[in-house]
This record gives sequence, C-alpha cells and structure tokens, in this order.
Amino acid sequence: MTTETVGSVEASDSGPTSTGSRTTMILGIITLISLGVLVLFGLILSPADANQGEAVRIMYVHVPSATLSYVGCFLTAIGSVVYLWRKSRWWELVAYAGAEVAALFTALTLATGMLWGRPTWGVFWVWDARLTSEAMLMLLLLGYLAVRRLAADYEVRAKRAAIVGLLLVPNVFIVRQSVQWWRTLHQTPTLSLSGAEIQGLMLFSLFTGFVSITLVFIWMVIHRFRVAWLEEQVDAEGLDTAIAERRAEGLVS
Amino acid sequence: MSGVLFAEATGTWPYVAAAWVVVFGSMGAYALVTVVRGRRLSKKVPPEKRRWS
Repeated sequence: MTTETVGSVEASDSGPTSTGSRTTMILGIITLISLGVLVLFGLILSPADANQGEAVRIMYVHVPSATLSYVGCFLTAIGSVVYLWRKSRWWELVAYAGAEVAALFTALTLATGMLWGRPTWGVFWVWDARLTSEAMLMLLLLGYLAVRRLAADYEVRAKRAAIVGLLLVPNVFIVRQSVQWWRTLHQTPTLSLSGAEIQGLMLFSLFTGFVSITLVFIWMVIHRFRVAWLEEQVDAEGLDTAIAERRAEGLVS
Repeated sequence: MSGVLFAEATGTWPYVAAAWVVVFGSMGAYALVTVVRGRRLSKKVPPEKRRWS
C-alpha cells in the first residue's frame, strides 16, 4: 500500500479513488445498455406519427426529461424539508444534488421542446403557459444553486437554499397543470391516469425512454451527492487547517 | 432558398437528430465532469471518510 500527501490531508490509494462503487458501476452498465435499447426503439424500430411524422421521435427523450426534472424538484423539496426540520446535512446534500440534476433535465426539456416546436408549430419559442412556467422553473432551480453557493456561513446558505427549494413543488404543479388551466399551443399530456394517446411500439419506446432516463437520473444523483460530500470534507479539512495555523501563529507571537 | 430546399429534402430529421444529440451529449458531458471532479476530490479525502468504500 502506498500513501501520498495531498495538501494537508494524507490520502491513501487503499480506498476508492473516485465517487464510483460496485453498485454504481453495475448501475452504470445497465444504464448504458438501456440507452442503447432507447436509441434502437426510439430512432429505428418505432414508426413515424401520422400527424407529426418523424418529429414524434423527440418525444422519447423530451417527456422523460421533463418528468425527471419534476422528480429532481421533489427530491430537492423533500431534502429541504428534512434539513429545515432536523438540520440534517445528509439531506441537505441530497437536496443540492437533486437540484443540480433537476436543472440539467429542465434545460434539456426546454432545449428538446424548442427543437420539437420548430417543425410542429413553426417557431422555436412562444410565450404560452407551459413554456413560460417551465422557464420559470429553470430560473428557480438556478436561483437555488446560486443561493447554495453563496460565500456565506454553511448554516445560512443551506437554510436560504432550503427555503427556495420548498418553492419548487408549487412551481412544478403549475407547470404540470398549465395545459389544463390555460389555452396553450402545447399539447395536453400524452400519458395520464385515464390512459395513453399512443399505442404499440410508440408507447413501448416512450416506456424505454422513461426507464433509461430514470436510470441516468439515479446514477447522476448518487455521483453528484458523493461529489458534494467530498467537497464538504475538503472544506472542513481546510477550515481545521486554517484554525490550527492561526493557533500556531498565536502561540509563536 | 437553399435553406427551404434543405428542409424539404430532409424533413424533420435534423431537428430529431439535434434533440437526441443535445440530450445524449449533455448527459455524457455532465457525467464526465462529475466523475472527474469526484476523482480529483477523492485524492484529498482519507479513505475512511469516503463512506461508499
């Protein structure tokens, strides 16, 4: 076993040198296989739509991305509630990881939605209720991440970020219901409790999209949580070192 | 003019391809950045504090 000194911390190569573990490695392999299946069904085997033509293939990545962005928001809200209630750092990091991954999927939802809108509506963007509320959700997530990274005491920025995190749930509800409450260009949900508007290979391709993007989401949240955990450890170590140095200076002077 | 001819010849496939490339490219880039950050930070933290080990 070899050891090396990095900064003030003695790191060893006897443990894992990344955020990966046996579980996440297996999860990663399954995720890559499912993404391959998604490409096969989404781009090759599923038929074109009678009305939308080939553009319907964007649905297989757009709808799962939107759904997982909502899941990320709920995860952040749950983590925020538990942090505010019990001051749990573990849950605060879960909320942080969930918010960053949710921001990624919200950005993907907006980007794929614009690319779907151009061939179906004739424009990339229109200020209707669904698109505007989704853009507001993106801004709220960026606001959470900005507050979480404020140059302030941990307790202060975590508490403020958690309060912003709580606002995500009502915003998700508004996004979800926007096509029901207002007349919009955006279509009503393809899947609902009353059934699906698509069948056969198209429905199976969408299901494959949900499974594979969900696996990606889980893999990302786990790794992002571990990165955040490591950042906390490095920050704590740096603070301890600074305090020790100040004390040593005080003793010397 | 050439843009219209291109759109008529290719249909909606360019938009489909762009959407899939954006999704897979972004997910891949984010995963790569996260793994690289994790590797860099892991070198600064003792193994006993990496609780997934």
